Amino acid sequence: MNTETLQAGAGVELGVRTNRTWILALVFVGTLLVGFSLGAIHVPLPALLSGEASTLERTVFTEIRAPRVLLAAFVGGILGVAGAALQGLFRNPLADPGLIGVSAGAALGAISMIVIGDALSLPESVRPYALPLAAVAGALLVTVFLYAFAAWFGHFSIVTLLLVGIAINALATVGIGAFQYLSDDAQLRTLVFWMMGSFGRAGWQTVLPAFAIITVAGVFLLRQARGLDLLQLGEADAAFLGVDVARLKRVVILCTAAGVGAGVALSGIIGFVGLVVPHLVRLLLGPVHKYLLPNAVLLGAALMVAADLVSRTVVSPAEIPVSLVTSALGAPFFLWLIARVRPV
Amino acid sequence: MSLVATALQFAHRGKQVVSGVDATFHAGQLTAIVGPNGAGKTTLLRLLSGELNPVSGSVVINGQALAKLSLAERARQRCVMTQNSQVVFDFTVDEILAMGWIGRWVELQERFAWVVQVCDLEALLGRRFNTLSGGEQQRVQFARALLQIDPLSPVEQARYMLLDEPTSSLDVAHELLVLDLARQAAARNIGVVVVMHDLNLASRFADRLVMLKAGTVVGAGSPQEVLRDELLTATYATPMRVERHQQLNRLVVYS
Amino acid sequence: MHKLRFSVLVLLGLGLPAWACDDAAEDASRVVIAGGSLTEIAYELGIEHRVVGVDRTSNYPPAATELPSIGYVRTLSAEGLLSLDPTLLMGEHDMGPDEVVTQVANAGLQVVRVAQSLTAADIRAKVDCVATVMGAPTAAADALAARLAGQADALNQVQTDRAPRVAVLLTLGEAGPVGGGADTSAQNMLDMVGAQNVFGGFEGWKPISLEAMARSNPEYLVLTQRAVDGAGGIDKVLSHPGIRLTDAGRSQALIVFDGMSLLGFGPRTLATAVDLAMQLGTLPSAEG
Repeated sequence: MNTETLQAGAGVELGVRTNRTWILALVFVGTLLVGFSLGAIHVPLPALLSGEASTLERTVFTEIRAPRVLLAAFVGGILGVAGAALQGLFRNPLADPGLIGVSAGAALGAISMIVIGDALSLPESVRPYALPLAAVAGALLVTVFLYAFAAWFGHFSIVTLLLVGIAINALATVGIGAFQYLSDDAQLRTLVFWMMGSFGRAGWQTVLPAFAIITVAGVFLLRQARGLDLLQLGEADAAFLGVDVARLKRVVILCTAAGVGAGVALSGIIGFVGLVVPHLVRLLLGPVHKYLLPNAVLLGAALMVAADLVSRTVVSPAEIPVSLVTSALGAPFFLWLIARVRPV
Repeated sequence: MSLVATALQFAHRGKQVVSGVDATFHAGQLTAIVGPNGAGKTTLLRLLSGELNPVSGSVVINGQALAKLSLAERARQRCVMTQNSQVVFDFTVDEILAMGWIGRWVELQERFAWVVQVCDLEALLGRRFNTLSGGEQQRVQFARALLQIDPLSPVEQARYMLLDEPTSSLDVAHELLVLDLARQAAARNIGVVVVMHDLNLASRFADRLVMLKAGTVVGAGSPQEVLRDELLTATYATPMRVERHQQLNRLVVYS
Repeated sequence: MHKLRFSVLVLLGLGLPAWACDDAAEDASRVVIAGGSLTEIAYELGIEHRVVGVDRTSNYPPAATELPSIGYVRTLSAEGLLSLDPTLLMGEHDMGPDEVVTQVANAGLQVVRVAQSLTAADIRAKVDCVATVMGAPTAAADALAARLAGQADALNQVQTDRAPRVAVLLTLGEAGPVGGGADTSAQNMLDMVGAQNVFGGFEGWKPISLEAMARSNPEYLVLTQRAVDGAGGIDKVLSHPGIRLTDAGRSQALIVFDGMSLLGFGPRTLATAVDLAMQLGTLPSAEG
């Protein structure tokens, strides 16, 4: 093969990737637009833009639907990219913030803050941040524990990772159950929310700090693309090529925990997105993280906006939990994946 | 310019694996590390690469302590080819190869084409790395190491290739191809260090040999200096004989 | 389309909205109700035609289940609610999540959160509240108030000297029966009928182990219809290992009520209390 054919070959491949990235971007924008336009109340977007919409329509759009759709997009995006980064870090295609217990850790953190938070008598100004911070701390605890355990083990096989995930999820469930038992009626009411997962509580005041955390975490994760690629050659080989593997691990763990924690604090546990999205993107674009990570953001966001759309429209005026939608899509996919990966 | 190991000691789980190794690997030469199984060859290479930290002693690369250099600086001065080549996800051969390039992005295409050509990899391009045979994977890994050290680029500083049994899974033709490429790299002022088993190949391709036994250097120098009947017999604990082959004009080892 | 007044939005812009019960709603022509007892009251007052949506706890009278469902009282959906084009949202104290209630109030919907009812007086206040806010016909409101007053008077005659030992069970799950302790609506009901709660030693609704069930040894068991249905009938309840060993089980002293009428503290609850007191013998049955 000479230089010309190589260039041609590389060009074709790059062209396919670029085209598919454009398609994903279009899907994302399209889903976002559909998410913005559809809902229990009909809000005509053109009228909204031209200022002809009624005040009710405008209020519903700006105060209820817009923050909700955006929260779904942010949470879906961070779950997608965090799943991709975790799979790269663990060098394991079945790593997912939900499956390996990171989301449960975040929920446990949030729930513990709901139940014991009153006893801490925090100043009023700190309270809105205490819950997301507790969620991030819970997620961080689980991720660090997982990685320490993996390091002690040498390397996690796929099966070991899933078994450890089951154990961590079980532990978190114990904690959540204990807090449920301890909580009073009002606290229990708030707890129920974390079990179901919903974007229904999105309002500008609550989502903006989360958007900031998720954006920072997401940007840092996107910048680890080359390190995560080289890591697939093995930790030693990555280091030989100049990757500071210890730093890479710290950044991925911290950003995953921060992003997932901030998301879980607002929307509860939403499973399978972090698992399904990276796999779909790899099928489309291959495993190179430079393409995988940003497209996992796009597809994760699109998928979550669509799932939330289903959750809030099919039984309107009531709604079904969004985690029900994502799990209904994700669980069969997970089974297919296990059959395909054959983790013996 | 050289890669120098001084009084290197390394122990694993209380067992001394490398005990007091002094060795110099010159730029522009191909040095073979030879010795029986368990002599500490791979461990010595991992100490030279900086992957392992010695219990005592030091590694100095081009006059600077390796331990003081950043990972990025090390990556510019030496490449390492290990025996591990497990990759989880479905990367293509092209993608695995390109991972070796640490230079400027615009130059990748030209160097990539060169390395594919000299390493005879055209037929493997576009294929999934995980679907390749062990030997094909090894050839790709060698090419990746070659791309990292970039023999074509004119750099003042000498660079080093550390190769751990780079031909263990290769057929004869590709084994000769890889070792010949390693020799060509040495001709471009690159210090090539190869852990190898085949003493005949070592005598054919190496400028210098470092022979290890039980973690210590038992012989170092040109093939003529190291490949002697009594030294080989003592080192491998089996009767061995060395003769000069008249037609090939090189040493041949019989056992 | 109905135009919402934005003066309300300005008023409700700060904090969590809660409208007082003292005044009629500005417009009670299209009402969404979140809370079963409030729905019952609306039906009792004969103003159900103005109810355009109810939550999932509103299952009495059966006609209420035909109305559009806005989901569970604690997990309402802002847009779903507004899509019914309501003029008023009336909910129990536990209506939520708070963020959603704030959102719909900010969108101009008038919101009334009715205080929790735990006593006979509370129930009458709740009925007054619904009648006032929704602007019920005076005759209907007075008739219901009079009926509740009569039932409350009857309950004042309850004899408290004997205090039969009673257990209130919500369900008979696989994990064991769930019993009502102190600080529950079950406790309030037992207080009204002059009975002693055998689970008064703990707070809230908790699963009861079979041994604890036997040791508590109630003379009467009060169950919800749902518990009986869930267990598979009265016979199954009587043969339940936790119940068989109690005095109530041996003498088959089981009293079953619709859960909402027993524990919902709505318009039917006082009648249920009178009924229960007679069955427990703390009220002479002739007076019924």
